[in-house]
Amino acid sequence: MPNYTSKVPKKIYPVNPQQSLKENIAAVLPLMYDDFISLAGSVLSSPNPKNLIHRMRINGKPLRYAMEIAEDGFGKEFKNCFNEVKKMLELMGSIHDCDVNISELEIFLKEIRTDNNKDNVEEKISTTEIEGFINMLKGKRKELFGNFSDEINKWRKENFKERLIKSMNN
Amino acid sequence: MARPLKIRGINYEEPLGKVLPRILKTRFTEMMAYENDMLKNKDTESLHNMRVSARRVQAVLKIFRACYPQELYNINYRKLKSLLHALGEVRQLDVFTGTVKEYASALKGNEKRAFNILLVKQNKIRNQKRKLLTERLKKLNNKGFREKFAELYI
Repeated sequence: MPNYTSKVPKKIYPVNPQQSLKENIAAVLPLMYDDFISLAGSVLSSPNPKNLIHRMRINGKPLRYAMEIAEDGFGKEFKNCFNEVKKMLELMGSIHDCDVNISELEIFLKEIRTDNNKDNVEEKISTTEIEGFINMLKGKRKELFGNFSDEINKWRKENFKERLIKSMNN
Repeated sequence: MARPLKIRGINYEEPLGKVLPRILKTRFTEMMAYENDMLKNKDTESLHNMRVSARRVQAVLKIFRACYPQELYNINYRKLKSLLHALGEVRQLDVFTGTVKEYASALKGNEKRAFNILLVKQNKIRNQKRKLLTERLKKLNNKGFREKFAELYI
């Protein structure tokens, strides 16, 4: 099993046990949003940002779960922001699933091809369908990434962070 | 994905120090409630739900880290992380297998051959990962994981 001795979070958010839950959430959510969105530029500009998008998604999960706790503490616009964060993370999850599935299939394809090239193989296994599946997933991934890119740009245009902060001030 | 349990009696105007134990206890209890069904291995949903619940617990610890004594926090966070890792290893295989099965279901006869080989291979790996997960959970329970974690919210 991996060694977990060094795997505690480095980041410490400025929470205050004496202040209300609501005040604390209002203070930390913009910071958590910054942690999440800080990787967006690199993700969108990198040619093959598999690991970056995964890291960005990992950064987004505490934001999502914090908003979940706070959901009933603020108004309608907060709920709208929460739904958008959820949708964004679900989209990133689908992209990640494609990345993992493509990677696993490519490893398997390599194994099949290696076995097929052995001298003593009785009957070669067709790789056409696996190749077709990989291509299908790559197409799906491209489409999902396009949607993700559109959503991030929409957030930038409408200043999502400002919307989030305002939604907690009402 | 299972919806989270409502945190009973939560008052957003109350001090964080007063509300936080209730939040953490709700999230932790919810996570452990999936343990029995997950161990029975009847379907993939209970494992998925336990993993999502564990992520919720992890999030509470990450966000409100400053409220906890460092040593107690570190011990429990690391144990939770080890459980999350073990759950994640199996979940990733479940997602992949589900995707492969769905795609292969539309194929006929010989077209499925490579996929059948793949599914047998994945099933073998899954069984190994599940065994590791079960062992991890057993080890955590034997070392008083629940009791130790409860010190964070009592």
